Amino acid sequence: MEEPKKITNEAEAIQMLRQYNDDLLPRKFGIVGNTWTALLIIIFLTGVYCYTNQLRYGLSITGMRDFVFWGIYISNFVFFVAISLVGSLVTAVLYLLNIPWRAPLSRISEVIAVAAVIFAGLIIIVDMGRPERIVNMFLHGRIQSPIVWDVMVVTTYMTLSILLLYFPLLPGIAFCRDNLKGIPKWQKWMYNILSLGWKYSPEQYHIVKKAITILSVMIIPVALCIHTVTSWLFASTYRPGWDSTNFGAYFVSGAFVVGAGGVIAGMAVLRKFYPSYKTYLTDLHFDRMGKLLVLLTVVYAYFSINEYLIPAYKMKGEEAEHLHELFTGYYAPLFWSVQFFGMVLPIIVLLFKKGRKPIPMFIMAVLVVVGAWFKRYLIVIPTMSYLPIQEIPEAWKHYAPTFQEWAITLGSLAGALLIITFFVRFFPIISVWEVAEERGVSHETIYKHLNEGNEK
Amino acid sequence: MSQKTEENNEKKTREDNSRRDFLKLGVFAAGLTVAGAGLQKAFSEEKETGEKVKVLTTEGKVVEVDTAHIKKAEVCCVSPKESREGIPNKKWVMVIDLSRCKHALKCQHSCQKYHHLSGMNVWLKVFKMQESENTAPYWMPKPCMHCDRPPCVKVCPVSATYKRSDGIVLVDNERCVGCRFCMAACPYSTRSFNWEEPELLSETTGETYSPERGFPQKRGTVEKCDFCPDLLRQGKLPHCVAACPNGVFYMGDMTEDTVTNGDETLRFSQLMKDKSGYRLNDILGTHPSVYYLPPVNRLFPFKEPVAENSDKEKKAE
Amino acid sequence: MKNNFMNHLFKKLRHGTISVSLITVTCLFINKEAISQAEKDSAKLSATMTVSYKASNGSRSIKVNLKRKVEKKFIAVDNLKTPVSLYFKSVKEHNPADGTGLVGKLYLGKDGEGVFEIPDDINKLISGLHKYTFIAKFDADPIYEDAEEEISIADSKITLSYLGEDSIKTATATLYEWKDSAYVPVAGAELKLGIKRTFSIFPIGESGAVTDSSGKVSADLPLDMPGTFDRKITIVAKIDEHESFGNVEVSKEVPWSVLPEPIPEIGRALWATGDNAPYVLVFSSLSIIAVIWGTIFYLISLLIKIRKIGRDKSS
Repeated sequence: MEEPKKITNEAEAIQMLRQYNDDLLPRKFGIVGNTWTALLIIIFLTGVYCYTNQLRYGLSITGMRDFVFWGIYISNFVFFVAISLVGSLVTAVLYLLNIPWRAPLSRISEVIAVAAVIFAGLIIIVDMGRPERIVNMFLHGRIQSPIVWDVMVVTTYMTLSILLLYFPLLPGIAFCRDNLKGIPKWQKWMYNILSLGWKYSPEQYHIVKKAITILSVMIIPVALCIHTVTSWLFASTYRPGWDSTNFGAYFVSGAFVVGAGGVIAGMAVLRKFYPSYKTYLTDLHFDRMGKLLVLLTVVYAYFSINEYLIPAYKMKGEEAEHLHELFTGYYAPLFWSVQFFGMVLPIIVLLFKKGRKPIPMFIMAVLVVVGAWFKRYLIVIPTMSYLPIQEIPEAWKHYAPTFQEWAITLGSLAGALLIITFFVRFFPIISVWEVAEERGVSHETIYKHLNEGNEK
Repeated sequence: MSQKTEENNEKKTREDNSRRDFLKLGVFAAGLTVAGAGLQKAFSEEKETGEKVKVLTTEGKVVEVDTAHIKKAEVCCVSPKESREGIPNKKWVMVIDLSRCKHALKCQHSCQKYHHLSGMNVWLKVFKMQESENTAPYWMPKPCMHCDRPPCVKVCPVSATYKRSDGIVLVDNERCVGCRFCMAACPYSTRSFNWEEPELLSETTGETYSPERGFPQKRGTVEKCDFCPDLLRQGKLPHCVAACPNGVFYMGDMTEDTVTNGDETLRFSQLMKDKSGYRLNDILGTHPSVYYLPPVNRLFPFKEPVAENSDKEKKAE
Repeated sequence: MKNNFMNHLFKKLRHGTISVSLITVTCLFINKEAISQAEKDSAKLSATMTVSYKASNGSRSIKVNLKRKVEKKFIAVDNLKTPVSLYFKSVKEHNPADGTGLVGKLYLGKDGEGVFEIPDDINKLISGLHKYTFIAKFDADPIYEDAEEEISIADSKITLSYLGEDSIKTATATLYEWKDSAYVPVAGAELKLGIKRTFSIFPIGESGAVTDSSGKVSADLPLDMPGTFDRKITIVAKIDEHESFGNVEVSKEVPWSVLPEPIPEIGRALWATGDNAPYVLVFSSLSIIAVIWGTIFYLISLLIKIRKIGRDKSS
């Protein structure tokens, strides 16, 4: 497993670029791809249907009631926000650090980020009792409320993520426009509009480079904000388990873990279904991402220990009740599974070189992502049952999501995956020019080659 | 009114009296007619009822007038916008004497009834409290604390819940977006949410909504104890205070340093000093407007109500 | 009945309020139907009516309360469909049949209570009589049996004086009754003195104090009692549920030097409305938003620039 050689010879470079183009053009799905898309559409539409029921009958169709008044919508929201952090991690942090193997991963992570942040915004509207009054946020918004901060930071992050996806994509769209033959009219039209008349000119290229640098610098603090502010929705209350100054760092570190897991899973899937991508998503990439995931998980473990160990040492009042429920009580099986499969096991497996091969990596990545989803469930739900609960129906004391609630939540997950799937179907998921640059091909050469099609 | 004008009035009345001693019955009847006209004027905004009343005139003739002055006892309340201003120069305070509570729940029933609360939403709860194993249990009624630094108001994204100058924290269910962040933020868990269409809606349909009375309820919005500002405006005690048979609740105005439970009226500062009043979870820095008196020298021994609880659970199922 | 109705309609038409009368007509029919319906149901509930009289600073009111007995407990009647009428009875002129002497009609509230405020005109007229009898009654209610209750009140008067010095502030009240064409002091009656508060009267002086031979009761005011923000306090003297005078009270506003604790202002705080957010919060968030969104708009302008370059080259 070596770093790919730098290319110095211009002829070799052009040869390689041609090869890249042939490999990386988006193409029609086979049977697997179509089945997958159809399945996602069905799950998504089921969710939409259940949401229309919720609009009709109110939140009473969910398992939420007073006391446990935030359920899987909120934990799912936190999950989406968490996984969206990957965009800034791979694209911005690794870009600014000049990590030599990040180019093929940047667009995968950026599209995951965009899909997740869009559905984060949608699922929070789903959780509202009065979604039609969302306009009140703008008419009567209070800057004192963390929810308003969250609305601002989510929209900002969404905009930045879309821009960070879009700028490096411009040459790719233009390339699709010029080279994809036999595509429907609307698809051609879409490429035409979205490519902004890209002419492979050096001026345009310089603008894109500049924009990427600005965005990479700016998206990091905003990404940290989006997750920190989301943690403040909980930490700004008095509830045991939420009332923690560690929450921002804890959430951010957890978000990096799930984000990295999401990218690894995406890489593995693409490699599986697009054999030609093996050249770009190499074992080296898995190895490096595996090491990165270990590092991130260790940091996350550090904050997790902070989050549970010190309160457990003190065991004060309601906090003690909460921790007992997590450690040995009702939530213990889930709690320990999540800690083990979502944190400990991936660290152990990925420490070994053999563990950093695509298949074990894929399994670990899925464990991390699924574990992260349930971890957010454990962060949001159990804490709401530790206040004097008397005079309320037995059914209200324990929360169990209803079928429709699950359907809506799964629908949102399917929706996010659909965005990613459609993106892969219609746009190059690996950025040719960025990969080429990474291999040492100068942008003049890239420009020259890419311009070929235009001059023909 | 100054003393002088009062004297003048008195003089005038005396003169009137001496003069009127000679008047005959007819004059009185005429007076009634005049009064009727006056009433008609006073209640001119009310619809005519079509009913007739016969009145004797000075000439001894019976005439008919319309009884437009039929008065409805319920008067409606202020608009959501007006309800954002507190009642001027008032700062409400409630004192709950735990030594008098025997879990009669009259406060709760009255509250539920007059606010048309439906479903399982209960604004005023009475909890069995026991600080630790070896200490005595006692009953603790828990309304909204109407904190001076309300955590719920802090987090509301749209000013649907707000703090007024008179200390009351209200919810405007015509603005609430239903995010339930206030429920998360409230350390006293006093807020409830309308998960489904409120059951008793039919009873309150057509009623004008005002945050000061909290009904008609709306689905997908938060509600809570409001200190009955519609009653306070009329100088009446909140429903729970008036309904309690044991005088557990005292209500008053801080600026007057007086609280009353309907039977007795006491100095607030003196009461706090004499009975070591405290506030619930004062350590949180929320500055509640509700004070508690410790459950010492109790009026009633502590007794668990067995039947009522099982009743409630049945209803819930 | 028909005649009445025609009369009424005619009058209405003359006033040109046809629409109102149409509603009225409907009301009449509905009313009639309801009554006839009720007449069929012979078993009606019976209710207990209590009537009390109150004179406050010369204005009079009659409170009517309706209760019924359910399983040995009295509960408030909250579903009376018809209004309660109040009549002033004076030898001949009172006649419920034709409505003579009617003071007013009132629908009881949800607590089964209603207060008739005697209008100023009537109040003035009856002041000279020194003895008043009021009759409250309702009839033809679909649910409840007819009920009637009478209350007779003898004329009385309380005067209130206040002597305010620095160290001692005293209120003195005197109770008089009307006897043989003059007001004479009443001795041995329980006369309460107090300070008016929002919901109640804060008692001052001895509890259970009765008037002396000159009809007087005195009490010292607590010197640290806060008054209003405009430096006033209201003293009240009253007799409660006196067998011949009913409830009588007078009040007097006097200058007062103890100001109440100021009401804390909400000001610019985290718990204030959006317009009153703390300046630090407003400025810091606005500047962050301005910087970030400024950059975002700059980036969007870059996109426009790219598009422009694309156009220029192709043309």
